Amino acid sequence: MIVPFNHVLILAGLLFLMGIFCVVARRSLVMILLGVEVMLNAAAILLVGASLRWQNLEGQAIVLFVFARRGGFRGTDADCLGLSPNRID
Amino acid sequence: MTIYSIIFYLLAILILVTTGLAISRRDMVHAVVYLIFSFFGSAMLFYLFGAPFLAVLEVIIYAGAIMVLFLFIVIMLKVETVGERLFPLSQWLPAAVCGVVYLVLGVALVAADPKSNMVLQTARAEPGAFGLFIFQKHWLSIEIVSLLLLVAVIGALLLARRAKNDPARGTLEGDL
Repeated sequence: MIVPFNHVLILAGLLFLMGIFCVVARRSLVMILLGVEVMLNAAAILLVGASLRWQNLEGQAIVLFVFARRGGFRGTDADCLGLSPNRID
Repeated sequence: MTIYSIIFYLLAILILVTTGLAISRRDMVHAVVYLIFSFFGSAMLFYLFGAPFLAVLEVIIYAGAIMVLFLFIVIMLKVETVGERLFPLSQWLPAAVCGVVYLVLGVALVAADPKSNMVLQTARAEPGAFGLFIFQKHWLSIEIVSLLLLVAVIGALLLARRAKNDPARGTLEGDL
């Protein structure tokens, strides 16, 4: 007995809205990337909540793969921005 | 009003407040640190929703690796803060109206669905069972993701070597 699923939907929606605001309204590249992270977090919350609502493990599997991919992508981002172990001297 | 719902509402307020603070800071280090708080709250939410493995993964990967990477980017590359002016009212007003209309529509849609009122029951995906499920039903996705990570590592090495050989076209510091 946690909460009605409505409330999880509303929480994820508000969080997603904040992520969109951060991407659209901020001009710095780092803040845009942070907004994308916030949006992905909102989607992850929604997926795990849905996985609990339908008592199915597929939602958690999707979140797992999204996390794993993003680690690789952020590493490449950081390297594109010039932050790599070979360059720091 | 069980203890779980109290925990959920407290966590929801915490996540929303810290994320709101994170996206509105002028100093980027503050924004990243507030976002780390937000991710800790999300990890606790995952644990509440019965995904302990994902909760730990979120702390380790999201808050522990990716946000630390962002901190390095913000601290080590001299990021000049572009003077962020507020948009004029003629641009704010349509955007705010559309945003409010979408919000109202979204809440109405969620409230109008009779099936979405179902109260979530507590459950728990044991990491062992979760691992068995992943490796039995989604083994192909695991192989593809590992290949993708390999490509990311090789790409990062290649970019670093090119930046070392030719420092003029290595970085994007000016764009930040």
